[in-house]
Amino acid sequence: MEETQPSWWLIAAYLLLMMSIGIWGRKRVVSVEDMAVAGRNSGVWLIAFSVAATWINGTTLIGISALGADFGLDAYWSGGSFMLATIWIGYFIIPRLWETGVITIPELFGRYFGQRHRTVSLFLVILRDLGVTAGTIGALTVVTTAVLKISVLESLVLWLGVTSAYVFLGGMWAVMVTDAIQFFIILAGSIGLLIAGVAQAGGVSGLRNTFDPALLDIFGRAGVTQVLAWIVIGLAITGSYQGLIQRGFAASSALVARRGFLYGGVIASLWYITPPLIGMIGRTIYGPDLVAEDAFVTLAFGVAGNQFASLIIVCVLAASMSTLSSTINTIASNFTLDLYARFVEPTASTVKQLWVYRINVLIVAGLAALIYSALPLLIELMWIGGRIMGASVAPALIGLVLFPSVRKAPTTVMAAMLIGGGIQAFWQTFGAIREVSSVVIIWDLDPILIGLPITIGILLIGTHIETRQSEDELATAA
Amino acid sequence: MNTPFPTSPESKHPDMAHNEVDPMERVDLPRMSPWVVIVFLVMLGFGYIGLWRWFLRG
Repeated sequence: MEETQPSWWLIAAYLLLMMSIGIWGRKRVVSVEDMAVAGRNSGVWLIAFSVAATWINGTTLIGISALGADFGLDAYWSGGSFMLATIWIGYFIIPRLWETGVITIPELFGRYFGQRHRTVSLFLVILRDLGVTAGTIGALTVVTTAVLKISVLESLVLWLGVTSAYVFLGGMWAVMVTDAIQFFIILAGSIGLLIAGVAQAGGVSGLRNTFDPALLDIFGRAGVTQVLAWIVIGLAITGSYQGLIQRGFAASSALVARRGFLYGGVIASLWYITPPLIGMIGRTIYGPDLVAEDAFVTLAFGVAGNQFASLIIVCVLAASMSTLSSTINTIASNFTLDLYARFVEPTASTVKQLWVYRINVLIVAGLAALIYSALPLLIELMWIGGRIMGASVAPALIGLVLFPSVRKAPTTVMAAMLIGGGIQAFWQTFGAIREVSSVVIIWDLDPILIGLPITIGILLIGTHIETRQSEDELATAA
Repeated sequence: MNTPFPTSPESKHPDMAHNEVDPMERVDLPRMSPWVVIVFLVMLGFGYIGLWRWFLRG
């Protein structure tokens, strides 16, 4: 790794391309709606590639490769389940959400149930998204400080600076266009690495002879319950991933939103086998002594020449920045619409709203840097925030979309979010851990398998009781 | 910017008869059960992994 000389020209060219898209996109942005949802005018393929790129970040490449090295093909589920869930929400949830005309998830809860629901859902959504933002910049900092020999401060300023600059200028439009370009960079880098790794291992036949058979088990080291938990986590978190769902709001129609999510979900589902395979090949070439979380970087620098290694670095940058730009933009939309517009100045002019939004983009980027600096272990914590949201807001949101009766049960929805989120947090703190692997915790019983069924149970029983009471009151009044 | 849809119980228009159609109801749900589709997608995922397993085992 020390002998590799990354090409700063390639990295600079990539950063300049991203910045130029932001500069080009600034003329398209004249309102908060343009900033948050690209003026609701995007086409199918822009949404599809943007959806796929948003789901792939530095943690995906490095973390899921590490899981592949440890758990083999099972590792697919730790990310692939999110992609299958993307297809599902694209089919059933996104078109209905598009029709409501909302920009943020808390706004939707506010419209159906009132301001208290909006506040609670805002807290839960931001808890997850800020964690993801800080975790993503953290993972990128860990890699780039090691590979490019830059300081933590330089890393934070450079990557967060460029990302927030193009979001500041071009809003969601710049986010989606850069996402589409970043997707192809990710594709080139990751597939190229996979092919180089296979060649290094002696081709497909060489791999077949040397693979540890345990890596090919469908329920291998992770076990049935953990694989099931990964599937449930993917379904739950995707159900209310606001940064993703806002891509649907950016579509020109409900049908375009549906097709964009379907295509993006299918493309990403197919791609997501790549990081586990990279990890498995790394394990096969470098043996049991390889630290799992080093599998991706070790393979990249072990099999690649300088120029190819630079492409891999740009691939990691692209993967991380596509996620960062999404979460920064989505949290800025929360700060602007769910906080500023409600509590500070509801009657602000369009121009002022736009500037407040842009300043919020910079504030969110600064917050992410601060959180990572204060809590560098947030890469782990971002999953905790995700699980809490997945066991509270997600089932409530899916219930709201699929069942009209849930829309008439505000007390039940509030109880489900608070109790489900609370139990989830409690179980994550006190639940029994079977194994702490290099990048994930393997639980005796994953907390999501406790929290989510309880939330669904509250929604089912509570809605039945609450709506029946309402009908009885109406009948009495009549 | 935001379309009004006063269907919330906390709405200023509690008389549901005079409310607009809930915008979500403008889109019909697909005929297939959402829960069956989840199971189907998970089976597809296992099938996809199975294909790779078959390919890598030779």
